[in-house]
Amino acid sequence: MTTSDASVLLFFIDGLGIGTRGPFNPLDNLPNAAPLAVFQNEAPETFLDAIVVPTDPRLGVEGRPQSASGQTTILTGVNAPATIGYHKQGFPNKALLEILGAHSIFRQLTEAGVQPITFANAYTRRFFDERPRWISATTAAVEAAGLPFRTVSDVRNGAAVFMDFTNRLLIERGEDVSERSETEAADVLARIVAENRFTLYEYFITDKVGHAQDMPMARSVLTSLALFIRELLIRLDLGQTTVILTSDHGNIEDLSSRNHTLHAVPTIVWGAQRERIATRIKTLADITPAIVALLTDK
Amino acid sequence: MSSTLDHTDELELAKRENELLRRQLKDRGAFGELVGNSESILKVYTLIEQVAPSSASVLITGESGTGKELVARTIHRMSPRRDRPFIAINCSAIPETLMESELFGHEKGAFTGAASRRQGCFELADTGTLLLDEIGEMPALLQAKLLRVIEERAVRRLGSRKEISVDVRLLAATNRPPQQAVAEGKLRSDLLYRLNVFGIHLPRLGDRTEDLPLLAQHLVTQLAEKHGRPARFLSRAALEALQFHTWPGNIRELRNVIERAVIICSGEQIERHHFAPYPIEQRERLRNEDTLTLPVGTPLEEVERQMIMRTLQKTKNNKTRAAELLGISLKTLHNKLNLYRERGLLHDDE
Repeated sequence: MTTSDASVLLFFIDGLGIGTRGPFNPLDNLPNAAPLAVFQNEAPETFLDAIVVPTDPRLGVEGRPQSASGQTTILTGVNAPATIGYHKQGFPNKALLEILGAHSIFRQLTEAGVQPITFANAYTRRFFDERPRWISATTAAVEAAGLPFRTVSDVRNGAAVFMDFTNRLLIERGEDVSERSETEAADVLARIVAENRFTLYEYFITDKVGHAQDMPMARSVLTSLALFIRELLIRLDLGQTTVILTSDHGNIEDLSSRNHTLHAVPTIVWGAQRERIATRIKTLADITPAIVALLTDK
Repeated sequence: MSSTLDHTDELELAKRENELLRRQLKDRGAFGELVGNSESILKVYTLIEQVAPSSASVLITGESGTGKELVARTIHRMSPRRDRPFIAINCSAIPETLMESELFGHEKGAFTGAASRRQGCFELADTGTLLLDEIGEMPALLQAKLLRVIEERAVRRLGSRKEISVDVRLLAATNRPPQQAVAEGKLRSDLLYRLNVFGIHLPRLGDRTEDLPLLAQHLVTQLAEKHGRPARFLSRAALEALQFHTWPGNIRELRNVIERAVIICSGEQIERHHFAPYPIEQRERLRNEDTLTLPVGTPLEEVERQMIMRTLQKTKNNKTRAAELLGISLKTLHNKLNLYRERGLLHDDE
């Protein structure tokens, strides 16, 4: 395989840590939860040949890991909490936006000549009509490279996946789209991955359900997400594509508290290059450098 | 656009049907063609509900006779494909030489005896669901071809170079642990991953005996109708006899027993003698001789005393043999019997 053949899917899940078994962990004894069912001090039940790397989201900074700084770190390779001195929740502030603007993985890959690259998620019309005051780290990372956003129209045409890959949330919001099964959503994302050298997909219902401490919903969401991931994996050419699944902080794995956890997060790597990637990853700051090195053969 | 509407309608219809099945479950302890309301079978219903709406491959595991094909049919019935074909093929029942043709079809003259063109199961199941039963019995060469069909979503009939696109939802079933089949070299691991995207394991009937009355009644109704017989229900004694049995053949065995009883019963009520000469009664006696039933919470000393007395009864008071069976020395046995005598719990005539 030459470098120009290699491709990467970064599958980002918000708020999934490595917890312990017990009544507050929705993954405990959840059937068909592979590859998400990763527990502390246990060999993980993987799907296909994967390497699971417990990854540090705390990054040497006091406090609970948070979304804005964690995602900025994943998407840039810069230790954002260390740079700004704390874990920043919610949306990126000015300091984090500057980091994303300068070091976004999309920007690094564009500057290295790695093309085509894409963010697979779709945005609704509202995002373009009423530009929100606060934007997510992923949005800022995509904008840093001047990449176009996928739209609900792309979802209709089978060329984008919504954050809720079933489209149910879009339908609730009145969008004219069909509901998708996990299989159909996996078909679409697999096609996008096959057409690009780097693809990012973001899923964040896990974090919302974790904050809501809703056990039945958590088990349902995790079952569906795990099925989507397995359906996706069997559709990809893992000889060519490296899949990296990771998270910014723990949350859904412990519903006893509505806060984020201090747990390590699972980085799960599939594909022929999985060892090369996995050996480089210790913290969230190692993910972007590992991807850039793989795709530029450094 | 019309295909989108069709798809939406299909999903809507599937949802309505699922709601109907859920109501059935609530009302009668049934789910599609499955019967029972034990905790273990309710978990199976949940898994079916989760996976049916997608087209994901499902691997159904469980001992022979636990109802794997019924689960497959229920998944199909609850899926958007329910009005399309459901085809089942048993990989252990078809000679190896014919299986490739059965699965993928053949052209006229493809081999000796191929007098005409024939569609295989994949083509027959196109847009529907295909169940590959006893997948672990599929020859290795065919497993490789099956893997290619799954990846390319196309089949080639024997004797043809033309690829035919197929849209088939695959369900597979096996009565042996799939990982064990892989370890024994009977099943390719790459094929297992593609079939086992979602797994459903069926409990043994012996592990859900609380479902026995519901299952037995369901079978009496179904089989009496099938054979035009008057049987309507089981007597309490007949049901108790069924509950003593361990059912190594699972629901299939129960069905056979009840089918026979339904045929020979001339009235409305099935009695235990309608099961004769089936060895249920004999097993019941064996069970009475060989087992000891005690309420939970019985003090351990009492459990020990009763076990010793029952073992002596079985060995016809041969103390050497009883001590051997109990794994204690003859001296220990004598000491314990003396203790029981001292406490007035044993008389010399016992």
